[in-house]
Amino acid sequence: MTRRLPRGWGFGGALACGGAVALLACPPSSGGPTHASARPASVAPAPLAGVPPAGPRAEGDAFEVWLEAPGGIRAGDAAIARVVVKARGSYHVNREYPMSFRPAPAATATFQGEKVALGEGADRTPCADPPGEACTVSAPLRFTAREAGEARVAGTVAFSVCNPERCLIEKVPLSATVAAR
Amino acid sequence: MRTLTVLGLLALASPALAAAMGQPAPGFTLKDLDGNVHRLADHKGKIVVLEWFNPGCPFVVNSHTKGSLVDTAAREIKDGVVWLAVNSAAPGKQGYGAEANRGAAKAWSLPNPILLDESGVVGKAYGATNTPHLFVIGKDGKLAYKGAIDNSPDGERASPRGGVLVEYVKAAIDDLAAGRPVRTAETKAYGCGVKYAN
Repeated sequence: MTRRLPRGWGFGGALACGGAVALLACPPSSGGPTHASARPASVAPAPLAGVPPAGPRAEGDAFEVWLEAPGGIRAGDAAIARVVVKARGSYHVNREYPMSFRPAPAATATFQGEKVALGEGADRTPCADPPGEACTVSAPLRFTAREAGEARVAGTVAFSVCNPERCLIEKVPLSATVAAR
Repeated sequence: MRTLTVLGLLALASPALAAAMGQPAPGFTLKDLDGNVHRLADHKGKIVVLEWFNPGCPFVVNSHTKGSLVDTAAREIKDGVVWLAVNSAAPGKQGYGAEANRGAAKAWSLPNPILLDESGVVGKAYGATNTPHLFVIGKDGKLAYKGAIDNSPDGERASPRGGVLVEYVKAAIDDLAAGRPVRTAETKAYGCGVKYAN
């Protein structure tokens, strides 16, 4: 199931909440050209009613992002999921921004660090317009299921999409379950 | 009224000539949010930092709330550096106008003026392409550094290229203050595009 993030969620929400985990509980920003008038990051955010827990897929006006979990993995062996970011409309994936994955405390799979860079080995699908930019980026995410059974690949994906008018920095929590034998 | 040096005028015709390293920095006259006039020529003999700025850009927001611009201008101003933010957003573009910029200045406790360059003439004279985009002018009036504030293109200091954070502007100012050549004089700026009219 795809989780639709509230309009204006993006970076304004990140500014108001000051953290990836807090994004889940943040009210959407009111939009507008400046995020400077948002609450300082030290203010505790109010819970956002009706926001479902993280799933394998999420979307906003400017993007879709999802986790592609592999099948048939063996506990203890290295496995590869894919994090896919697809820009929507006039947006493209900002190649200058260091895409990353920060594992969540709830993750039961293990990763290569507290924060995993997602650039290396990524497949980039070019946009029709603007030329030279990528509209879809599919990045490998290496993990290991600690034991047989269901392993949870969960964390926050950070990426940026831009169009000629603005750039957005998004930090989106995703979670997928992988069966390990 | 805006004044441009010959170099600045040439830069308008040819972007390749914009703000060449080691050459006199293009002069300008711009107004800040309160209508006060600021001229580069007023700061001869001082190190001057020009910070291309847009309160609507998330990279600028990051840099000023958790990145390498937090309290940076305040620290450098205490040491005698002149720090000027420049907003080259055209009317109708993201981050344009005194009100948006005033909000940012207050939220981030900016000690420096924000100059409005809505025609983009000064931005183009310097070759400013991103926000943030930093230019450091030495006491001799020559351009000594241009590029990013640091090597972490998320604006949060959390993803430094090579694993070690380098604050390019701070390093350039330190080199200039010590009378040394700037060791890293040019880097690629990261951030949003400057919101010129075209």
